[in-house]
Amino acid sequence: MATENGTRKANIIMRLSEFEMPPMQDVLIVGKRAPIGPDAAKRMVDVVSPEQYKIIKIDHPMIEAVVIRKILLNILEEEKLLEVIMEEGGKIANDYSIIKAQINITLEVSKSLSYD
Amino acid sequence: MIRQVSDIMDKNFLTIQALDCVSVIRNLATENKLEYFPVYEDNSIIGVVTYKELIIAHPNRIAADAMTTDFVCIKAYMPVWEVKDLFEQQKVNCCVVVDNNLVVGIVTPLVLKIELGKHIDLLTGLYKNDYLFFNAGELLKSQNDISVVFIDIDNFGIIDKEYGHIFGDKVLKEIALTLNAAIPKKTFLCRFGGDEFVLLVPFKAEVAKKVTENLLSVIAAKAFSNGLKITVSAGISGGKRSNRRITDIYSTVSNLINIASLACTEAKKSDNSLCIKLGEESDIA
Repeated sequence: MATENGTRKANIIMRLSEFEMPPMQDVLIVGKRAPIGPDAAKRMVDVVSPEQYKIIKIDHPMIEAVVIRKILLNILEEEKLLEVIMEEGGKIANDYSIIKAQINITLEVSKSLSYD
Repeated sequence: MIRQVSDIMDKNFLTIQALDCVSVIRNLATENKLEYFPVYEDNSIIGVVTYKELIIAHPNRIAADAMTTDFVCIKAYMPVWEVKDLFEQQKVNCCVVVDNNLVVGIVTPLVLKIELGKHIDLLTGLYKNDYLFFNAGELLKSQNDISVVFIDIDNFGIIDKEYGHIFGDKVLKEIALTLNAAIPKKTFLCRFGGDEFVLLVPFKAEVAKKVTENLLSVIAAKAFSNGLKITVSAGISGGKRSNRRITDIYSTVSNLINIASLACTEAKKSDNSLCIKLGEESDIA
């Protein structure tokens, strides 16, 4: 673009990637004063991924709730999973933050069978 | 008459939707000077946004993420005393008054406090008789026996004349405190007026008699200000419930208080400081 005193240039950088389904990862840790509350977050994902997330209210000085993918709770007990999330997430979250977390659970099963 | 929710409820409110933004609600609160916003979703009340939540919540949040769910829905004809119990027992932030699923008013702790203040005797701190009428009505509705004890200070006029009205007030306070500390649980004491107190006992007359005898002896044993010895007389009515269904609770309770007051007058005239009138089946509970 030419002007009286010189030139101005616009560079466009474009990154394309596939839309994440669901748009939220496995867990959201929502601060008590975060701009998006747990209900709004759940409603948002419910529109594109209905019935996949659950809100768990937390008794914590800074964290209001954890929005969690229900399928994770089929693998691990809610209490145990929350303990891990809060132990790590609680260290970095504050009143105003919304932290997203990706959780991979691997189950290792080993069985011995006796046979004649 | 016993005051109802419709007599005290705040009709100055606005209903909002679950997806309404906190910043918009804040503006509504400021422009309209409102403090309570019932939140609707799918034609149901799901919460209430109060001024407190509006201050704390991030302006970007939706009402569903800012509201309190510590509320109860009540009807406009509920007696205010029942609302008092709700606030005490359920620790709610406010009561939403509904009619056909539509919000018609709000009862806040402040509104209730102002109302209850009208029913508390400023001198003694005891409730006035409206509280007694309500509790008597509740007991009668649940098929309980009730006895009414009318208590009157002996020679209170002479105390006023000899020691002055300020001292008389002090005596009234001391008597109220002493009675209140000595009454058993589940009974309701109120200042009826002047030097008269009424105690509602949710039991038969025999129990009420024992309770009253104890109160009379506690008062007689107490050393009041200036070392004065004071006695009280009492009359008891009721405590002999008929199976008849009571249709007019107000007149039934009024009648019981009247019989007990006449019994008290009789007790003063006689040598006994206690007189019991069970009354006729037709005029007692």
